[in-house]
Amino acid sequence: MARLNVEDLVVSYGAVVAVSDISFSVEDGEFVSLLGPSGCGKTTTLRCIAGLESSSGGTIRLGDTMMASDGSDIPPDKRGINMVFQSYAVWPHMSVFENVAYGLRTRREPVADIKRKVGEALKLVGLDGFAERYGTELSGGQQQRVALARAVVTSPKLLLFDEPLSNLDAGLRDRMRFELVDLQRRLGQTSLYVTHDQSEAMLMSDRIILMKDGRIVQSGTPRDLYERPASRFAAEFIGNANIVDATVIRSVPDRSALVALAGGITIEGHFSRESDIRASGQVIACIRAESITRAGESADGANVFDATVETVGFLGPLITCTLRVGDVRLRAELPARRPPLVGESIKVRIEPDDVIIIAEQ
Amino acid sequence: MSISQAPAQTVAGIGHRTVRRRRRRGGLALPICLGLLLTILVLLPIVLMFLGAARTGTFVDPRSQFSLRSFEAVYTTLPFLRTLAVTVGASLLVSLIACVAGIALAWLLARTDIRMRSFMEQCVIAPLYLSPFVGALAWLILASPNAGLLNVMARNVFGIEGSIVNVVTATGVILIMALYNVPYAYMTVSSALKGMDPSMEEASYLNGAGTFATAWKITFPIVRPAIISAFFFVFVLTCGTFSIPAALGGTQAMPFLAVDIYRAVATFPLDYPRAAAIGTLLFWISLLGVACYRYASRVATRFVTVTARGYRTRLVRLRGFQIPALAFILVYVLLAIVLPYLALLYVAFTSFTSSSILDANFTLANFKAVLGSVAVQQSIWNTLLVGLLSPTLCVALGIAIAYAVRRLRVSGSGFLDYVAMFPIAVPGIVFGTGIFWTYLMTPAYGTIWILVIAFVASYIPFAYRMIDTSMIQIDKSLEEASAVCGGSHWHTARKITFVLIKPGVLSAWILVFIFSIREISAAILLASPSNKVLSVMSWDYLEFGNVQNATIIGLLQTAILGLGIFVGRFVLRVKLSQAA
Repeated sequence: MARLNVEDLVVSYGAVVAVSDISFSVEDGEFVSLLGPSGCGKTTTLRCIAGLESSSGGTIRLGDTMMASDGSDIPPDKRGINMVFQSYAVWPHMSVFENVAYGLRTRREPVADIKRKVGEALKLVGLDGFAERYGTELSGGQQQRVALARAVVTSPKLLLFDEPLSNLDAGLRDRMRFELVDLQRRLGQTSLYVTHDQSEAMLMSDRIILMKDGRIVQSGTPRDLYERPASRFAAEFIGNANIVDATVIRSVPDRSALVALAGGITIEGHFSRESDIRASGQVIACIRAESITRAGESADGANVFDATVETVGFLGPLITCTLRVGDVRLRAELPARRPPLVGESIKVRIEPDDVIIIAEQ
Repeated sequence: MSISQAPAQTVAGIGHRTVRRRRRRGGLALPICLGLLLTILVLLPIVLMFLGAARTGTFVDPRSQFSLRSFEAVYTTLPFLRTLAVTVGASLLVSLIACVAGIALAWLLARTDIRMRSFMEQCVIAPLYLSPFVGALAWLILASPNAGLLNVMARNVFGIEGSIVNVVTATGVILIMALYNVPYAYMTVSSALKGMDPSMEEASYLNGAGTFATAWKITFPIVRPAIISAFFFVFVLTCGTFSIPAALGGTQAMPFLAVDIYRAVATFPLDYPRAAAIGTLLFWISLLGVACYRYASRVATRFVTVTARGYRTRLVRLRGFQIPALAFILVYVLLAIVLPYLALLYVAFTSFTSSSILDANFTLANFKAVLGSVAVQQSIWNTLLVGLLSPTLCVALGIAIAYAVRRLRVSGSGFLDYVAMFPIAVPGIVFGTGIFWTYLMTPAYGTIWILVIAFVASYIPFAYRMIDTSMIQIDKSLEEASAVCGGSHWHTARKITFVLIKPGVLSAWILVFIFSIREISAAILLASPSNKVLSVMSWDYLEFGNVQNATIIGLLQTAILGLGIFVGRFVLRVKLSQAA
């Protein structure tokens, strides 16, 4: 049983506050990501949980054990946590076997057990046959697997990942994402993962905790965050949406509303959250590029607009284009088959369900 | 250096192509000039030393002839072989002690939450900027068996008879040599520790290993190549040391090869071929040491790991060990700097008539008398002249070689690089011997210029390596950006390259300045009445038993060093801890 519970965690260096007052928990067996731009405090939070950094306030509890609170701070080697580092940190003076066996040896486990467990761990990450190699003789991806085997072999109560894939090249990174998440599901290992890559977080996590400037902005399942961003920042960071200023014309309690955009356009949408619902005033409308679809010439009805194509870029399966609707510019992704030409007037439709209205202070 | 301007000023497009082609092939004038200069400066003295060792007298002596007499005496007879064994054994011991202390200091200052870290670090490096000879002189004053201040104090204050400490012994010589070599070991190990990926250690903590298990199983093995290279660096340096074994009683306390060389040319019967033969012996040992050092350094670079980002290393909390750790560093500083300089100041500013240390009379009379001497004034002037000329010429040559090798990619770059680094294998006293044999028949002999030549040749590796390093660190695209903006080759060099390497050049200048001012072993072999520098002057006074004047000269020399370092740090803003 290992449930991670962080309460009111504060980390400050002198006057600089890196993490201010954050609370969250990771359930047993859950895979949670801390997501945010660089400098948002996600790595600092992770290092506090590992015990590599001291917190200035708040508590960190793992299972029934207090890891850090005022006046007590268990050193990292006594926490029963393991971690996969961004730089892999594969020790260059040890073979792959010795690297993986290290944690078992510090616990003085019997030699036969060590051999068996290391063998299993290496097999798990697809490195059987590499036991006698040295860390410096391996590729980046292989070193990453060694680091992973080393971290899981001790069956830690909590597994931490510090942007483990960011030093790999793009193709390998995509493959490792699936492998990592598959491994985590099979082991049922409680995991906390730090990344600045939103697609990585979306793909792998049970839950995402979005951070900015040392605070938690929003947390929830990847779907939640994508479909119901609570702020302009969340909408922009996850899925990179078009954000447009809007004025509420009318709204109903089931969250749907009609808003006016610049240039006299009105669009139907729905409020992201119950608490946001209001009958008037300034809001922002969030329209994802992928939810804009091309409509036939004769199309009619709600949320169908005349648009002028300003730019067209070819992406392969899709084209990305800038459309002008009224006085608003929207980025849209349309099928690459029969693409519109620059300067052409087309009709587009945006499903009311895909227009997210956020009331931001 | 005129192989460039014409083609680069042609039409822009063609100009760029010529630049590329020229860089690949290069002209021949520059590499030949530099190669010849380096060969004469660096290789010729060593070759002539070997030739000289195989003669019965100097090259100018009409009766001298070819003979293997000196080689036989030095390489096969007992007194020299014994000295060789003692020199090598003592140097190994010195390296061991210096490395153990250096590792401990480096770990404390790089990995623990010790208080006043940056100040402590400055303190540990500080002995590097002081003359080891002056340090040895100070320890002679402090702990010679009878008149040593510590022994006198023990007698006066505690009534202890006999001596409590005695540096005029083999143990004393070894410990004092170790004391002044600790900074070299410290700096090598410290930079390896600082360059190490901190997550290497963090991964060990998270695998359940504690502070000491981590230090022992992870940190120490990863920096081991750096430790080995530090060991051999100190070994080579110690083997060629003249100042400390000479000042602390020479052959009486412990025979040392460097001292033997000096005795062969300074005391009767003068035997120049023998000095040369001992020089060759010392040369082989150094070469062996440097070979080991280079091997270890190569392994060390293989262990270099790439850090993801500059995360602060988790510092080990010393808690109760804070005070002992601070005390350890302070004792080192006390022994290497504070006590010696207190002793020097005491001797320089008191009259010898005082009966006890506690009621000493302070006076400026000694200082005034020494400063009034024409010979001393001459040697201050000589020191300043050498101190300005050597680093300037050394740095100029270093820039020329580094630019030719790195940027012009001239043919024979490998040779230039090798020869420029070669003197690192040659102890100062050996170079002095070679320079002596080379310039004996030229008008330079006996003038200040022979010292400048010797110093430039000795220190070119340091200047070249530092400038080379800062040139490598310049991103090539910065220069290419200037080229595509239409800057000609030399325009780019002047406006971009030379401006960006300026900090490296200044550090190299200051470093060679320090080395030149405090250098004694080559200077003493090449000394004549007209070219004495302060270190030689101080040595002469000590030889004649005038410790007080030797001390005052030593303090003068320290003042010049201090001035240079002050100007370097606060006026030119050179980061000195990155030097050496």
